Amino acid sequence: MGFSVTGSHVIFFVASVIVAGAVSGVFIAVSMNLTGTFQDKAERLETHLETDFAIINDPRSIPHQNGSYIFYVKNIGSNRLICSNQTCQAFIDGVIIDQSAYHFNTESLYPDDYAELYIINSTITTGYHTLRLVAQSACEDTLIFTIE
Amino acid sequence: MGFSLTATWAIIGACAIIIIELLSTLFFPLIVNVDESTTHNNVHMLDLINTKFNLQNISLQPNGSTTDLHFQLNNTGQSTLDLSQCNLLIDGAIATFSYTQPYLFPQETTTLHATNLTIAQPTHIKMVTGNGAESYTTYPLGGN
Repeated sequence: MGFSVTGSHVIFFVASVIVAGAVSGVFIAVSMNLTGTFQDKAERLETHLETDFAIINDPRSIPHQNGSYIFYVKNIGSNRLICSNQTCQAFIDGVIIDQSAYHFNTESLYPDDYAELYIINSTITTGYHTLRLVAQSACEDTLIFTIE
Repeated sequence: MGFSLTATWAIIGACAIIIIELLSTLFFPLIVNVDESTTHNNVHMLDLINTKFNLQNISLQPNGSTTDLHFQLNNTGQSTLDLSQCNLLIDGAIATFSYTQPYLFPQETTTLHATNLTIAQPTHIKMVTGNGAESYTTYPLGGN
């Protein structure tokens, strides 16, 4: 009888330790996942706040060279901007331009510097247009311009 | 039974302490970093709002087969302009320019020179500062 009481206490003790350990493990795992997600989100927010650029062209006079129109993209943020067809998407009048139809003259743009964005002439007709450029961290700028 | 309960609470308590430690060591630096970025962004926006300038007294001077353009930059805002970070566009194309003083304090005026231009009669002049503030003018003034 004495042994059975002790035995049941031991069983209860082991069971409660196992359950508590399992619950704690789940809580710690969930917390670690949560912190990882928060960290990613905060880093993205930080990058987004520090990244900014502007298309600085004269909207009435877009220069062209070797079959391409040239748009000037100036880094007015405090982060380095990666300029490539993969990281930047260009839209003319809301329609995304094929990656083969535009390129930059540099791959990396430091704060206060400007890059040249070449868009081939055939993608832009005469008249009024809107260029929207979306870069890393979803930073974007829009330029309404005319081609005469 | 009492011992089992104590052991259970001890394990859960230790787990809670570990979780609090994890969250606090991660969250405080994140909050500080995001706060710094937000402050930086606000300062940038304020700087942009306070940056105002205009281009005036534009003159053209033939220089052999090229043209020299001289104009005055008047800082009418409350921010100091760093001329090394500015870009000049003449008729839509980026042009280089020279200056005598690197910084232009509020309410100061300086003369800038863009020399050896291949455009004989420039009509549109635009200047962009490092923070993205812009000023636009036509030559002759008021023209299209």
